[in-house]
Amino acid sequence: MNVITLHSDAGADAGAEAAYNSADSAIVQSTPFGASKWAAAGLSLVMLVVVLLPIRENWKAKPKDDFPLSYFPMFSEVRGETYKVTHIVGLDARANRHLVRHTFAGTGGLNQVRRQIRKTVREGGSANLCQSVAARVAKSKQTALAEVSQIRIVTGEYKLNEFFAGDRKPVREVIHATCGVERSGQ
Amino acid sequence: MKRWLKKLEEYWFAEGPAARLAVLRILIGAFALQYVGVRYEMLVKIARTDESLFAPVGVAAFLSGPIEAWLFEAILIATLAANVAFILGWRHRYTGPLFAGLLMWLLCYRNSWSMIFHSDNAMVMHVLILGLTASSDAYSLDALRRARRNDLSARSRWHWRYGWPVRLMCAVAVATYSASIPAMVCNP
Repeated sequence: MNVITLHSDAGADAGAEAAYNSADSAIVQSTPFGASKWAAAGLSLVMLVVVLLPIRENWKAKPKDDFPLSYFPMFSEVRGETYKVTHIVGLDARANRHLVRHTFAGTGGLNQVRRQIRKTVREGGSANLCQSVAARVAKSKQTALAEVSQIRIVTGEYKLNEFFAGDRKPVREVIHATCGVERSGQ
Repeated sequence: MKRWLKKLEEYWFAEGPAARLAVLRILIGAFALQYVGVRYEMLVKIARTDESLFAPVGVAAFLSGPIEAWLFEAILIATLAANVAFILGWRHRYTGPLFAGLLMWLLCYRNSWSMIFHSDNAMVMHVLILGLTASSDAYSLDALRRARRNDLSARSRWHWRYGWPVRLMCAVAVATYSASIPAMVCNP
């Protein structure tokens, strides 16, 4: 007899299945709250409490996000007029700026690479990152990057409203590293 | 108090059809399969990322560093295999919890490279609920096997066993995103 279970596949053979069904029916009919229901109620309560536990992070001095239990900081973060982002800039001989995609710095999607660039710069690895991006750009066959002769790793501060209205110039920019793009045959 | 608890019990353990829970298993399982499947190459590449960017979260937090890339790929393949078993409802009593555990580990590891993707949370929790409950009593190889042996068909059967997991999935989805409400309202 299998009573305290959340699965129906309690017994592989016919006898076990029949015993299971009859036992479960008997519990439901004879007692108001059987052992199976206690197990289900316990699991429900535990899951809900665990999912809600990260709420505590909102009141901590140094909140820590986690997975899959999160306090979803992006929904409660105070947004300013400007936003800082550490990114890659490509420059040609006339100092025109070119877009260098995040894929030149790493893998895992835009947001992951953006965070990784920020972490690398924070930990003093901007020169290495710059060299690695420059080497990849040098090998790239993208025509849009053919004129890029210099790579910079920068932290730019942008006014969000103006940026999305078309003015892509940063309000402030800190240059962390600069390096040349050395193409073979040059 | 007793009356209130009785009402709660009636609500939480309302009877539901086995087929409803089974359809959720198939749909969510199929979503997870395409979600992980189309990211296969990317996930393998992520496992080869510079270890200085490794910041383990969730069940991967016990790791002191990244695991070998080949081991990660083996776990990824095992997850996809368990995912197929989950959709088919094959030996669900074992493959259900196994898939839920593997998916949880895989996505914790995937989120351990300096960025947490919050869009994965609800899927992991829902697979966990479906993996631990009687979601393969209909539209599954298990149900087919049982029907052949016993001539029992659970597809049209209604039972509280099939109702509460759906309630829990809804409650977990609401609770997940409610976690940010205090901060938005109280601004601590």
